[in-house]
Amino acid sequence: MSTRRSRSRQSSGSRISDDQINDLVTKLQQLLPEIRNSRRSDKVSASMVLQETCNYIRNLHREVDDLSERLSELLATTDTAQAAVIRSLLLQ
Amino acid sequence: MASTTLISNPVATSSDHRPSRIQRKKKKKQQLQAAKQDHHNHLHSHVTKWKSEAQQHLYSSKLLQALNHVTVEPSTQSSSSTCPPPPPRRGRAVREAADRVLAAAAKGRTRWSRAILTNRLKIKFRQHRKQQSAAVAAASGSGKLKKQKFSVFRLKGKGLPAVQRKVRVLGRLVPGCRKQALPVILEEATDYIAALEMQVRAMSWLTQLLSVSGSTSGAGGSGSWPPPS
Repeated sequence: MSTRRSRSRQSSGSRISDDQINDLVTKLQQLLPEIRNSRRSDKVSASMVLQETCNYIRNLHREVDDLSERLSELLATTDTAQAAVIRSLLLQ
Repeated sequence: MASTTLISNPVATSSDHRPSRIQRKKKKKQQLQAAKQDHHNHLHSHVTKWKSEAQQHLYSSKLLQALNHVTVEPSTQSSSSTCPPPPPRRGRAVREAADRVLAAAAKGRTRWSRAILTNRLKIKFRQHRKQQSAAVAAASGSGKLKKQKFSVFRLKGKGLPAVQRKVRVLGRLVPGCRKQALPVILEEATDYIAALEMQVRAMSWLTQLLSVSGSTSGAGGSGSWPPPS
């Protein structure tokens, strides 16, 4: 394919093949725990993968927010000396 | 003949200083194909990088450093009151610090990490350099937009409204990918998910560590951790 050769310099060129998109979608699918564990790979559509991806990212955001809250409470109660101790432990 | 040039290519670059025109053309073609392969391996190696324990430890220690700065700063700034800032702002500050350290850990190779870092800078300097940053953002945004418009029109295969809508939602979730084309969003989402998972693992580990050490110090003395010898 002559067009692919000339335009494949940039990965996001105008000539994006469906294969490339399917490849990326499958890669994304591998990362999602729900789809990976439960369903068969041929029953999964691109739309489902995208939906699961959005849900998963929202879940991760919520988890990070909860963890941030807990961490902020813990940091308030713990002494900063403790944090320094932990840091030295981590760097070893 | 073609196969021998394929194999002897890396050697030819060092030893043979007069490559023929045919060899140069072939090398260029292979480089382009290799670049495409590299692009896929590139993404894969970055995604696996987020799973390594070393990365998690590095992130945890850097996050702790950043959090120490966060807790120390408000106390020095608020001269009148000595009480710490109210909990919601503290949690928000922790979240922002965590995101910032995460973006820094990505070393600027992905769009979402760059977007997080530039967003922080924009908010910080908003009062002083409002017009300057807005001008820069507009210039880069409009330049990119022209290219992206063209590529979005060509994606007729994925023209289903349901899929398009989901792609837009996904683009809004991943920072810095609001107006990108589909493959870019997918790539960024892949890396972003791996990075977020690492963030969750590291922060929950830190929480566990701090809660354990907090409880033992409450019990009396920090004699629980082994003394350095």
